[in-house]
Amino acid sequence: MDKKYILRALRPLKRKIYLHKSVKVLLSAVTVSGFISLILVIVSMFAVVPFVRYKMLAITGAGIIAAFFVSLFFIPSHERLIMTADSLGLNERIITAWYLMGDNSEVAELQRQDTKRVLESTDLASAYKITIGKYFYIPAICLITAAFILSFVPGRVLNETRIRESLIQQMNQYEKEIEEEINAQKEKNPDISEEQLKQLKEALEKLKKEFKKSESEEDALKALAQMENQLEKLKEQEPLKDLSTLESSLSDSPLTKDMAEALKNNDKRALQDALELLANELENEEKMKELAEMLQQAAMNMGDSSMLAEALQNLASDAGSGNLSGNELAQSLMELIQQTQEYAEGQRDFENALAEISDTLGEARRAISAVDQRVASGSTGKKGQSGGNANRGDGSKQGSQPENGKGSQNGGNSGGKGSSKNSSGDGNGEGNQSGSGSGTGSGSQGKTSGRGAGGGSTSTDSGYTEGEQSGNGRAPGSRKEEDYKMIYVPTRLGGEGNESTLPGQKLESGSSTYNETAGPVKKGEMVPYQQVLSQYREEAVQTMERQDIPTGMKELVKSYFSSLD
Amino acid sequence: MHSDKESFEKVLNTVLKIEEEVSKHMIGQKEVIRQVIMCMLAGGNVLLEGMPGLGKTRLVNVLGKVMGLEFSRIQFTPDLMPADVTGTNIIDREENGEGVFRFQPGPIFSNIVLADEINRATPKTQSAMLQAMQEKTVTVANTTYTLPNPFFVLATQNPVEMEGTYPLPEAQMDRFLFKLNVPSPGFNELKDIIKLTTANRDENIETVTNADEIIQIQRASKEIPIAEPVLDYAIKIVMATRPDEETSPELVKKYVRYGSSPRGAQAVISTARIRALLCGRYNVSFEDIQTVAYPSLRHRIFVNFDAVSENITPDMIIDGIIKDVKTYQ
Repeated sequence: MDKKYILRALRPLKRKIYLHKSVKVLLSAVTVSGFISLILVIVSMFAVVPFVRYKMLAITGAGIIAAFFVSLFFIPSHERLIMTADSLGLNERIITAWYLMGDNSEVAELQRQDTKRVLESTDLASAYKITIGKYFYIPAICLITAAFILSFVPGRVLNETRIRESLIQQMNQYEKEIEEEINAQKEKNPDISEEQLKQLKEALEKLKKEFKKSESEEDALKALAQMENQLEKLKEQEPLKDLSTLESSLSDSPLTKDMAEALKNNDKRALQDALELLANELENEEKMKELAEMLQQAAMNMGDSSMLAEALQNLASDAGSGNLSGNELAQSLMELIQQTQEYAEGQRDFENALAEISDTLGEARRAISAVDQRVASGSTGKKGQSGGNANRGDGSKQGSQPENGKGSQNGGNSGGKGSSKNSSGDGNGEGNQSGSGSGTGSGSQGKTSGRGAGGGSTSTDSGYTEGEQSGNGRAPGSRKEEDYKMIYVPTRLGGEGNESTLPGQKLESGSSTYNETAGPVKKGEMVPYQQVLSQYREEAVQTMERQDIPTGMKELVKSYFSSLD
Repeated sequence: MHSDKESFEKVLNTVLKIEEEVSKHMIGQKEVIRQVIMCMLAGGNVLLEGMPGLGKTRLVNVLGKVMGLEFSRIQFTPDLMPADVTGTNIIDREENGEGVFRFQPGPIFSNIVLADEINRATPKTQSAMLQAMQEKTVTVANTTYTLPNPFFVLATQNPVEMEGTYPLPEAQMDRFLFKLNVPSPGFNELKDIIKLTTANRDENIETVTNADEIIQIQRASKEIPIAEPVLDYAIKIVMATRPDEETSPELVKKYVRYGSSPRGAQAVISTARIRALLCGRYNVSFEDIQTVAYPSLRHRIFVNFDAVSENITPDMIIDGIIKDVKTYQ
């Protein structure tokens, strides 16, 4: 009998001990997971935690997986295994045999024989009973059950949570759709280059990152808008357009007219001939300069982001400074045109791809902006968010005195980005309006320093300032409004009336811009406030329904009108 | 002695036969019988503490016959002199008529000596007895006489009658390998004792071994292996009896005045080996150590006044130690 024999004989017991330990570790992990889940569920009653039950499942799953790995550390050691076996009625026979393994005395041999006899006649695995103390399983069951039951109890933020969940689902769905759309482009538009495909994928990756960070509809819409902008920029890198511009510029000079013609006809042979002729003519320094100027002009006519423009610019500089000979210039020009042509071949397909992806983005935008409506229609209704989004709505300021301003005014804030007439604008109106009007709020008409509507989501209605705290938005409903009695209602442009002048005081600091109202303006009239309030509210509601406006902004507008009641 | 498999198996069989035969002629007291056998086979002396009439003398008598050993009994009294125990030189006349001193061996010259009520003799006589126990020799008039081999002393003392007694000093208590508390028999045991002793019946005690085999068993038992963790455990238990050890249980620190000497550890290991043999094993187990810890250590643990006033006995202390000391690290 050797050590291997002992270990082989103890293998079933080892498995059972390991199973026992694993069950204990598993129950401990479930207890910890249950505790974390319970905390999460309690938090989810007061704060938005989307998909809390999925998260519970994930936590429990992670706990179980962790338990599996941790249990690997609980594989019983030889000594522990032998000790356990001895405690099952073997009376330290195995540990003695283990220690006597190198001893060849008669008594050691007798002891080994005795151990072997007992080992063969004893079913150690059966003798080892797996008993789990109640301290292991009762907390685990209680915590998991409590967390599960509590997850069905509606919390204070139930609606918000549902909106967030719906938003995440939409984001995931459209993320997938956009990805599929991009992946399908290679088949749909085979001429699309790898580089272009890579650009699309980069844009998608950026969208994914932004989506991950998104906590509200606004964030998600912003992410979509960013991708749209990125796609627009890609579209602007239009080699076909650049070639056309180049062709137009070349056709203006007799020196390069043949080249322009060849370029127009996409005749490579003719283009080659024209360039050879051009190379000969460029021996003349004057003509070299003329060509350099022409290339310079062509580059200027192209977009800033054009790669061709940049290359032409470099070429023109080299030609103008005499660094290039005529032949070299012609050769470089030829290579450049050929590269641009190759690149342009895939551009049409790329545009198609961009259009299709833009369509999907549009769908995503619509779906995401309608998330709250869908949730509201499926529930008892959304609670008012008094002030919930107020901090974001810097633009919707109100002053102690109403000021009359049109939406076309741009808030003259030094730091603000408040755009006033832009439905999808990104102006979050964060500037502090350091130089904006002193805000005496005289109530007179004028282009004041009032900032544009926050979030760019409104179409009109900027120009309300708030007394001396100009520039700081306030939470809707947080203050009682002044008693509005009469309101000035301007009539549409084109009617009769004098040119309107908007007096105001401009301070040293900050900046302000204004648009002059050219043309005749019909004189407005003073009407009772209550008469127009409902009309304004109705128009605002209709506008919000028509346009993709984030929920937060909608709530802001609703709160604004509520506060006026 | 060369130990081969046959001799070990023979030793094992002999030990089991001794226990079986003694148990036939002693009613009850199974644990005491086993512990006395263990102590004797380990070559030690036993201090039996119990009321008179519990069968102590009979036990020694039966043991002597079963083991085929010579047996003697000394009743200790205050006027007992050392020479009464060890023997003395007497004047004898030779064939030619000359007078010579001849050593007349005392009752101690026997294989098994029952020292009845040892605490009734004076310390001087106790010392003479205890010297013989330790050195297995007797010196009379500058002549040293070796005691028969094997030699065991089974001393008894009455725990109740303390008046007119000379309690054994701690150092002398240490000479006993075991101290056994002999319990009173229960109802059924007493009934069987009455039936056995008050009727006419032939008592045929079989001798299953002899002095040579006993010596062989004693030697063989020393070869019973003990695994390192088991040895460590025994030592930890003995060390835990000392109140000045950091790792000792609070119970020991609070109630123990002096702990066990190294003789305690020797007693635990040597008797645990015999117990393993009696259990049919060739190795010492933790259970062996725990079982022999009580008789080996109870007379080596000296409790303080607090323990006496709170009725804390050495056995309670040993209980606490066994619960406190872990079998494995």
